[in-house]
Amino acid sequence: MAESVRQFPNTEATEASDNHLIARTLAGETEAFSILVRRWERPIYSLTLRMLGRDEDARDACQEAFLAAFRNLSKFRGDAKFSSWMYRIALNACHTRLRSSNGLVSYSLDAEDEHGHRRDVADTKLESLPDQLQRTEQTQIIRRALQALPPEMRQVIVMKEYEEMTFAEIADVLGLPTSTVKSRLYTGLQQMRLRLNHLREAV
Amino acid sequence: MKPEVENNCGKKELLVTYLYNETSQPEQAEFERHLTSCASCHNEWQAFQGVREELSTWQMPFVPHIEVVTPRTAMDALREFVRLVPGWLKLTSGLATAAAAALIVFALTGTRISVDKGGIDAKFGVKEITQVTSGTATTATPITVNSLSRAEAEQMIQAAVAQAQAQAQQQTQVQLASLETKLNAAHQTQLQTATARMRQEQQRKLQVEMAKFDNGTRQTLTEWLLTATEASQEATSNEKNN
Repeated sequence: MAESVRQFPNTEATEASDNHLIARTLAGETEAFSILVRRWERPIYSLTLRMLGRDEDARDACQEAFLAAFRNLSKFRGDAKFSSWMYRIALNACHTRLRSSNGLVSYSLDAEDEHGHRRDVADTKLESLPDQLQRTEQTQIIRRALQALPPEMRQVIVMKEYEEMTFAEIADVLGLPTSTVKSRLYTGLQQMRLRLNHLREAV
Repeated sequence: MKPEVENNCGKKELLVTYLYNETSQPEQAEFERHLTSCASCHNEWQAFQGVREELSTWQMPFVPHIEVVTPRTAMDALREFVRLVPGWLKLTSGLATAAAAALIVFALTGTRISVDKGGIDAKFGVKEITQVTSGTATTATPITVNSLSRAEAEQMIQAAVAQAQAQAQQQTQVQLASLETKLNAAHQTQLQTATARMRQEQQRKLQVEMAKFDNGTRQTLTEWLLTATEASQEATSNEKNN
């Protein structure tokens, strides 16, 4: 399935290490926070990219999220995982952006590649042109189908499919019962199935 | 958007749990048995697997370097300085000694020391942080001295000590001026309090005297009235008797 976004397994050891880095940051060692950013930038960027669909928006939301985390670090309670707290902040940053654009991120898909970058940036990957075009087209369809989903369904699909989170972890981040998470995922997958079919037919 | 084929089977949650391999062994066995008999769930399960495969094609081959530039307060710098300075140095008193020791530590450890208009600035090996940027941090660019010769280091230490002493002297003068102002203010307050107390004491004495006078006058009047009444009664009884 999707490539793993986690450089660090979300284990108790990682959690203890995160808490230690937080304590060091709060003691004035700002370099410790940079280590936390390095550790979590990949999953957080992955989340914001899949939520917002475009690299530029994803980077901005990612930075906003980390800065908000730094500013509110003293409010972080040790009874929750840092990763859950960080995902929650990142989702809030995404929702704020989506609200400000009335839920629609307006951009021309034709002008961008499958990662949301402008096409004028040369692609240096060793992939034949037909393969590249096919993959770009496929990714654009997926992005469009995901962007068309209501954010509450999209976020569940993104966390499950791309962040490889368990149902319990997603429920913890969203503050919802596990059954609600499963129900939203089910409906989201149903809608994705239909949208993907429609988009493929349209292409 | 409604599904083309409605799945009215009540095992939707179990279906997604099975789809993502989070079922317990009994749940897995139960659902696999169910799949053999429920066409709706079987079709949906297969379709969802297809959706998952398609979703997985959106890969993220790189991650941009997220530079979170955090504000650095004077208190942060002080905390870091205390952390960096060895224990025996923490016991050493005196501003000039501490400043010189810090410079020696930085010079020896290769910590970045930069020189700009404001004087010598020890950066503690950390970027000066001003704002959030992507990719590269926007920093002030002071003249940076990465490696110091012995003579340069001594010169810098002397300059730092002189600067520290001048600052200390200036601070002392400011403190003295502030103390003088405070003492004057305190003196004024004390004078005012003493005067107020004297006034209160005088008033209290006056009231006591007035009360004494009132009491004396009242007593005198009462006695006079009693005497007069008695005399009047005596006169009346004498008249009756006569």
